[in-house]
Amino acid sequence: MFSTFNGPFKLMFEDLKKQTIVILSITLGVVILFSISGHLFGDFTGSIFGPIYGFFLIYPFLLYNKTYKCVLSLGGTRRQYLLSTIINTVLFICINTAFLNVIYQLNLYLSENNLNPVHLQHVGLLFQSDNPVLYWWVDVVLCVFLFGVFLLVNSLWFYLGTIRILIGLTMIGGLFVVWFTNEGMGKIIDLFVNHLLSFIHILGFIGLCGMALSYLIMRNGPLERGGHLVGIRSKE
Amino acid sequence: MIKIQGLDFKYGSTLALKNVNLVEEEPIIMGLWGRNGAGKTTLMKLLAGLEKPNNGLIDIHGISPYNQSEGMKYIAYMQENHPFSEFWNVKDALRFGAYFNPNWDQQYAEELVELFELPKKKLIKKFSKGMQTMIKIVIGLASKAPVTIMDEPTNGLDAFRRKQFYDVLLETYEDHPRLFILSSHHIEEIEPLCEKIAVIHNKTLASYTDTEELKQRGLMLTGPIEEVQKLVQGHHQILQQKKLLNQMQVMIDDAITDEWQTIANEYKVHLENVSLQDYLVQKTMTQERRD
Repeated sequence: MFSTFNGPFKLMFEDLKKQTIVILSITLGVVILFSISGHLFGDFTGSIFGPIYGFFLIYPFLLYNKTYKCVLSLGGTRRQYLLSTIINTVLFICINTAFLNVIYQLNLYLSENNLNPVHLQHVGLLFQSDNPVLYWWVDVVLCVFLFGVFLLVNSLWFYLGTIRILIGLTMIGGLFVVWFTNEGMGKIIDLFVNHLLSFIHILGFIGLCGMALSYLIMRNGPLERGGHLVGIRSKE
Repeated sequence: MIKIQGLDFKYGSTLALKNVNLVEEEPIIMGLWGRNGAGKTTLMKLLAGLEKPNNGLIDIHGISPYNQSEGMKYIAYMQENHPFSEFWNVKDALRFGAYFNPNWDQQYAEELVELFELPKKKLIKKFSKGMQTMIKIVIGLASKAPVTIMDEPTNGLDAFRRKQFYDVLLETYEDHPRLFILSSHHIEEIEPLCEKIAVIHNKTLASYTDTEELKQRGLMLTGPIEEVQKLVQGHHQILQQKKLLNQMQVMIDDAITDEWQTIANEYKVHLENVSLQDYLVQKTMTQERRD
């Protein structure tokens, strides 16, 4: 039976699949480069989360210029687009971070057995735990945070237009700096040092809120950046 | 099939369409003509559910298309600069066409790709303008959507490909009658296909007429200045006047009738039907001057 959600979901799935192949290839390339460097120059310490974390930070900024227009032009609705984007991104966050952690654990095993001189860094090391699921989960939660927050920023930017978002971000940034320098910094440091797991999960919750707010903002969003409010269009 | 009633639309504070009314119950091929900025694309976006009307009603097969997922079952809209992913080749575009259109005809889509000689593995972003138009035509026709809207469907096509497009459109229309809406600002490019033409002017629907009836309109009188002036004196439907030495040309918003023929012979004035494009341009310019 034909489902109207099928098209938007598969379009987003295939887009993320292609992006994932690129990102994972880069990650694998970095691992190989580290390994070669380690064997050539001795013990080597590095981190490999950059490409995957970076991708989920940048991806929200690619969405509305590319797949949004493709889905809508083929007959999908904004709601279908947002839901399929959020579901697929969370799915691919899980897949990408699983891949990242498999490499990390494999490298850990090799370096502990003196087979590879490369030592990889991981946020999970802060927990003083060896549980690989915890390491993977921390990566998932941090990627959800990055994607959710930057999806919200980009949704607001797309809805309000460049000038309004710059004014808004400047004001919010100013308020944040005032709060942070007065009492926020102490609270955040306290939370980070004494309740790290809670701190990470608060970030994840902020990311989820970002996704939910993006859905609410863009479910009736414009076709062009700032289109609802500016009154100017590229054509007619 | 489609019903538009009292439709108003604004981009922010800028009025784009006002009080558009149109009803079409039959599966016909409809032309949509208007000058640049008249509101054609906006109207098509509203019909496709891409924009939300500020006022009024759009009803397509009983649904209001804005943000309505069921609209996918009834409407296919191929934009002039249709967005395709930078990763897509023809095969990808056809696959996604199938995902989004319940009446998708894959065999027909592949036949059209063969007919237009489109390279299946080349990325669409590397296609020429004409080839991009052809892939849009393939998706639009193979969607077999009850309402298929195509913005500038002949853009970039050479005469041979244009002829092929006319042929396949008429063929598929005969096999599976459905409502086609073809938009263009060059009416000659779509007029041979269209049963009716909707003229968008000054942000509203100025007329919705049978093509044959519209083609009869616009007659040009050419002759000595004095004779032509006598003939058109007091006529309210003058669209254009031109003088050259002692000759004068006047375009009138009327159809050529026997009566006109007799009068023209009597005054020794040459009478001819103007092209539809000239008629529509002059007609809309005259309306603008009156407004």
